[in-house]
Amino acid sequence: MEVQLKNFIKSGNIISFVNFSGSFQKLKNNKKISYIIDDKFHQNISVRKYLEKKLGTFSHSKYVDACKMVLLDPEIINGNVSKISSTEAKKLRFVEALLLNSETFLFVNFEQGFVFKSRCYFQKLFKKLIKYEKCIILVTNDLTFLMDVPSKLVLFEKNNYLEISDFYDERLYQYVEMPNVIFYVKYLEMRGIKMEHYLESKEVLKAIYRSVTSKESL
Amino acid sequence: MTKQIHLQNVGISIKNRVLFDHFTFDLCEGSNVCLIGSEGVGKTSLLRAILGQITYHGEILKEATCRGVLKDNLKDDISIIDYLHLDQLDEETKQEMQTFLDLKSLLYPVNKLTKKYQIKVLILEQVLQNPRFLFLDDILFDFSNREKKELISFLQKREITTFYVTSNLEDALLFSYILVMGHEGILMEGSAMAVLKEEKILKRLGFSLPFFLDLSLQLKSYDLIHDIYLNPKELTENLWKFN
Repeated sequence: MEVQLKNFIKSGNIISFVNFSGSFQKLKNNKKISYIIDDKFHQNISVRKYLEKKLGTFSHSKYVDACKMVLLDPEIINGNVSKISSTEAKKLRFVEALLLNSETFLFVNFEQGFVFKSRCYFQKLFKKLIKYEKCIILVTNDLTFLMDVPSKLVLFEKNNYLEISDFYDERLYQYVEMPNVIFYVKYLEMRGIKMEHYLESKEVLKAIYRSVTSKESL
Repeated sequence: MTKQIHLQNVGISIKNRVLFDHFTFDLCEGSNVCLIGSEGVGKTSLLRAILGQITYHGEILKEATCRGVLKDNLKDDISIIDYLHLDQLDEETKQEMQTFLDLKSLLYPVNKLTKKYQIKVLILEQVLQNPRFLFLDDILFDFSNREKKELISFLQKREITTFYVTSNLEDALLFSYILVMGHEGILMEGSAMAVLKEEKILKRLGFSLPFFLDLSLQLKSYDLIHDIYLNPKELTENLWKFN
């Protein structure tokens, strides 16, 4: 399905594409939209050479600042791009986008491979970037990640797409895995336990505590 | 006799920088293992060393064939049938592969498949080589829980031992044994439940516990349950019957 990205781009916003199976190959040389994918590098060149090819000359201090922002060791500049890890590759593309000062950042499965602590960090970083009027597009089916990112959800199905405003919307789960917190709340509702539509597990815990200690029964 | 992959003090350095060191472990046939570790600790590099793709120091002794599926994209513009040479297989095996792929047509070109189906094709490509050990590098993120269980079951039926690398602790629950990797080698290992209960260590490494385990532990700390339940039915029935 052909998607006109410009229909979605809105500065200062995060938009999440769920169940999207298209390609963004046309964006490869687009300077306004930076495309941060989860593919490894195949070129046998140094990180420095790679960045020089993409950016021309660049400020080393800005490079270091960008690396710190994305939790990447700046020393990687002397390494070979084909030998860096998959998460380092994603961070390097992120650094490239920051140095380009792109208006729109398009991340594909960015959160994959990161531990929980790093995922939380990047969720906060995305919220920070939109304050600088950037537009962030997240392409992922990881709704557990998206639940902590204030974004507009766009669900793609066959030749159509629709905006979803509620993570408890059943239409999402025809295509992607339900986060465990939502699964359990729905399960409890099915078992006759009244539950609000929580997105945080600590809220579910409190609700369970209140329900059990107030002697509600199945 | 049970075949093994024996790793003794395996380490990898990149340009004088030690990525990890002193990794010692015996992977035994029939014992599916999950390796978890923070990003950049060398998980993929370890797999590549075992598969003979990169140099390492230490010792790796392989008593059986090993194959691996690392993160990659298929670029060939040929059909699934041709890519996997499915027409050369007997009908029963061909049917088994088709059931695993769960696709309407095997004529789709592999480079046009979504990531999930490309991964399935890559897995089958290795399975058809009849390895005894299969190493998978955090490639199942687009699979549902049911699909992950089906995959492990599919591999077990073919007597293939799986070694799965991930940074997602929910996936670790699918395996009976867990290794936690750090730059110093193995930081912790043991049965899945024993390792996953080491909350403090795992949180220090940046992980969060799987949802039902975390919820059970917290409910247990409030004395609302007396055991850990990873199954929503058991958890619910033990919570509400308590009172």
